[in-house]
Amino acid sequence: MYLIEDGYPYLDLPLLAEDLEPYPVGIYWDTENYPVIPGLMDVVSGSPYPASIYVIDGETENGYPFLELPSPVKLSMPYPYLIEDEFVDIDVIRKKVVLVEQKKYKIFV
Amino acid sequence: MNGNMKGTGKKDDPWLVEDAYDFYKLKGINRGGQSNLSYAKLVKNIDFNSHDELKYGWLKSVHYMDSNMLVLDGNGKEVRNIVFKDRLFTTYTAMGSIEKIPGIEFSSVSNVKWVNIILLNSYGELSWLKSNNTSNCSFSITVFSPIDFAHAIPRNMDGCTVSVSGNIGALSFNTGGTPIKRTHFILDLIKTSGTVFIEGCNFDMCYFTGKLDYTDDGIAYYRHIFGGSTTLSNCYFAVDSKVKIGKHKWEALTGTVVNASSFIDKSLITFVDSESTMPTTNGKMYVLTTEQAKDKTELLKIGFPVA
Repeated sequence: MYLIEDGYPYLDLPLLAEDLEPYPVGIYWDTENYPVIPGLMDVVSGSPYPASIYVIDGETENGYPFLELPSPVKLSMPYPYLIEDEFVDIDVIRKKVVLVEQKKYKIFV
Repeated sequence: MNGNMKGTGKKDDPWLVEDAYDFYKLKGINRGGQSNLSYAKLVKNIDFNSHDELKYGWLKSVHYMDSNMLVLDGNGKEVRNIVFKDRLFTTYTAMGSIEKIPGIEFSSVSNVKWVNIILLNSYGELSWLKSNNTSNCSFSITVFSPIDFAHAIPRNMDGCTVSVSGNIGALSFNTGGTPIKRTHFILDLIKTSGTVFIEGCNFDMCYFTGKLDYTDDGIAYYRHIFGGSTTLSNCYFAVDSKVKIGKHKWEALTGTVVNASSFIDKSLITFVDSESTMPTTNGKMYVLTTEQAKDKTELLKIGFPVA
């Protein structure tokens, strides 16, 4: 039997959606060489966002700035990233990801 | 047999799985058609992230884990960062036979938090976890398999919560007839191009929320959310969906049987083609507005089991 309060019906499952791993909070990104994060786009207009708008001042890794991804955008991000028509073999995803060298990524937990 | 794992594999003395290497060793258990169940229990969170040789290697060269007599009690622990990569099968034939992609096979799995399972550039009958019973588990699955006839979700689930994000041709294909029960699917999918988003599956008391971008041009001349002998009982689909018709014929339920009251929230479906209309329902699945879908009285009117 479903339960219902203020929203859609739901089941009393042992592990609810809130228990799942959160989506990524951000990444370190080479904004100079990759001004646009593939797949990160306005889901309404389809236009890509420049990566630079997500830069959080002062936080860097290997010289790359940290990008904090706002919720409406991060949820549309495909994995893995597709850069210059190559699949990028990244270890995603749920935590911070650091660009350690060109086209190499590592989870930064 | 069990390497350094503690325990004997008996029900009252299960193998105790402490790390990724222990988990990997489960692969070899009960190979050879043994008839007795073996038992394993997670005692720590398992993370493959620091073990590329396991994370990738164990799935490249083997077929199934041959552990379908293994009962795994997750004990509420995590199994994290497993990658299924480049499982490209080309054996899809005109008869519809699709070779299975090697995965993980158990007799039963319970109480495991599967975190960051990545299905990368793979297709076929992508049943990455096979178990006669998968209960009380949560899954966060990321896919990048933008090809029709993929299969992102485990079979035989009961009481699970499943988050699937990324890009896949179809969510599910042919789960073999066993119902998926009491499971919440949270979608965050883009560029979905499959002919049928969910095909050949049986759902009982399941619900779908989240987001679905079904606007990729794809290859087919028709599109269905549910189709191909899918059955639904007391389910609902309330997914913020963007659908492109283009050359496609759109129907929500063709080939689907609704055994008991189920509904779709039409308010969440947006067609990007201006000439498009709401999906037909064959009179089987109730089409509600968001307001109705959140109203107990309205739900009871259609026989939806809400307390």
